[in-house]
Amino acid sequence: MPRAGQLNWGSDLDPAGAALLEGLTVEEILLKGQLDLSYALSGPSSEQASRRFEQILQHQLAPAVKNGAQLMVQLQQEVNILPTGCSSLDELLRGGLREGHIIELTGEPASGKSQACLLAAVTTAARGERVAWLDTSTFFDAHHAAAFYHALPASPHKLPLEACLDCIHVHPVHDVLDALSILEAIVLQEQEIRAGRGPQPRQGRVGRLSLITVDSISALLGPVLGSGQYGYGQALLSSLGHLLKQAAASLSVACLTTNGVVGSSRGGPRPALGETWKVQPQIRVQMHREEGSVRWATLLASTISASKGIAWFQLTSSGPQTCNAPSGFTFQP
Amino acid sequence: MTAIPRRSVALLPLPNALQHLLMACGYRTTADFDGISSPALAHTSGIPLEDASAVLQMAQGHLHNGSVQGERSARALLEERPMRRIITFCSDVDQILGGGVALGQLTELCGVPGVGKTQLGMQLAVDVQIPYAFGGLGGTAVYIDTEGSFAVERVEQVAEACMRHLQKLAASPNGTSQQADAVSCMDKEGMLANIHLFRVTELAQQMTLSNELDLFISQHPLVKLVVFDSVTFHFRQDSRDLAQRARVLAGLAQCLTRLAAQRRLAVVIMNQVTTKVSDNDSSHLIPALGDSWAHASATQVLLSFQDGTRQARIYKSPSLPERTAEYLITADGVRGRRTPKRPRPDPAA
Repeated sequence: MPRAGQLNWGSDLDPAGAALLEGLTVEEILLKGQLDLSYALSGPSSEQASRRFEQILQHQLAPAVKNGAQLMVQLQQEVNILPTGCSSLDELLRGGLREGHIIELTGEPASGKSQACLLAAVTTAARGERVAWLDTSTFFDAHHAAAFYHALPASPHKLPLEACLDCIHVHPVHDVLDALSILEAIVLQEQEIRAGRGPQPRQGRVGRLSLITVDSISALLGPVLGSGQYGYGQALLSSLGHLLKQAAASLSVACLTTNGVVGSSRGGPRPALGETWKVQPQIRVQMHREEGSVRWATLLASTISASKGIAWFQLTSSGPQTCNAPSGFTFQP
Repeated sequence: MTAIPRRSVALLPLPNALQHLLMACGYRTTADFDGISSPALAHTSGIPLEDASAVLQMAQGHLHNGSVQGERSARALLEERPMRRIITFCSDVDQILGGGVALGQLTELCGVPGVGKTQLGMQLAVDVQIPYAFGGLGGTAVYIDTEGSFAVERVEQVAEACMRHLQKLAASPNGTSQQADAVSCMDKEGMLANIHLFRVTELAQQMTLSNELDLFISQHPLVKLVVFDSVTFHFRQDSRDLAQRARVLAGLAQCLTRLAAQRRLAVVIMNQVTTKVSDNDSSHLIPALGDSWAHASATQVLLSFQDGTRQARIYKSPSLPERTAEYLITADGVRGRRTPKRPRPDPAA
């Protein structure tokens, strides 16, 4: 949020008004109420001044309006969809992880969440796009990443192994406050890089941050939710969601998170973290364990698709790979 | 538009009362502290000067000063020299674990009473001391005993057997002089002295201990293994409030994960199993403590009796395939089958 002094007020602001606005953020001014503000601005009458104030703010701050046709063009030309590396999951997600979205993988332990994240990260990094990986439970395994890399299909755009792994930055994160700080720092750093300041990784789209992975959200929030300090845990939860959304939107990166489940003994597993978290991800995928290494995934919620589809995959040494449904399996959504 | 990152005062790691006080005085976000000196903050909010400077430091430092610290690229992690692991003395189990129990993360052993969880724990507490010359870690162990099942005379047997084995190796034609030196320095008393036991008799002790562990380990840098046997005991007896149990367990998992990662040591946690009944009335064993705990450990190993033998199965791991191995509990400790054979692939896999 810019500070009020940074906006261009033209000749509307007298020295006394400038002193009043100095040091305040625009958000604080907006919360202050119009009467206070009209005194800060010179003008024939306070009513006129506040109108003028609104105009200045609107002109400089309000989000630009776009129509549906423009959005469609933007979607087709500018928004990238990152393939996960597993074709059945990609089909379920209508192409893969969409930049600007939070995509959540939820499921029981060993349902393949972390492995799906790792494959998506390696697939993205192999194109030279950078991945920030927030590792809460020491699940990230570089040898596994290398094995996934070798199994990726050959392509002229596939970077060598070292360069690919250079693009994945692993941040050990041990609590939710750590996570907030690191996310803030990642956003700032990326803004600096894109503004042409700081070290420039590579030219063009290559070298750009495309994916932020948080594995897992529930490990971060578990210890702070539901305590006597109810509000504190909820505040941390919504801040984390807000920050991820802000990062996704302002940097147009995809955020991939994992979440545990609750209630698997009572009425079937459902995602952990409750209603407040539920609204944060745009897309939620639930993963299930089947016999052996076979897994399946369904779309639990999505803002872009009403698919009742089901994605079958198998956990292999080269990552989650599409497989056929076991015979006799019937799925009731 | 570049957002100036700032954080609500409510989200700073400060005591609740202090947060309320600051907010009541109009300090809502970290941005509100810009350009304020600590005497000024102390004066306007009426908090002690030390508190004021601590708050300011936190408000300015919440960003890591804008730079990303502590990150490592996957390439650096790959090129890192692989850390030695703690062997179990059963080569089949070591193999399914990827060469033994890994340092730097949590490994959970789940099983019914009598299947050998404590035996494995005591074996690992001995094995972590195997000298470097033998491919071991030459470390020490912390053993947290909540059930009272740690038996020192049993550890003595296991340690003696381990030393006999090392002496045999050192005396064999392949033995080196370093190995001979290393084994000559070992004695039974020394091995027992290298195992630090905390006997935990109630939940309050368990909760305070997990916070004190870090301090203890900073004073004992050779600790390479922490065994928590078992994490369930005090919860099974005292689970009136399931939500509270889940939260305390999540905190414990976070604390132990941080300990394992920052101190580069192995944390082995024992857990009970519970029976899960599927829709088709078949039942199978799963780790106890429910859904939220289930994600705590990097690797979960299910120990069970199958056809009269003891079996270990990788139940969950981000990097290991689901495989099964047999093991024996002998007078000397945990051992593999006499005729080594490749672990049987899981029929379901």
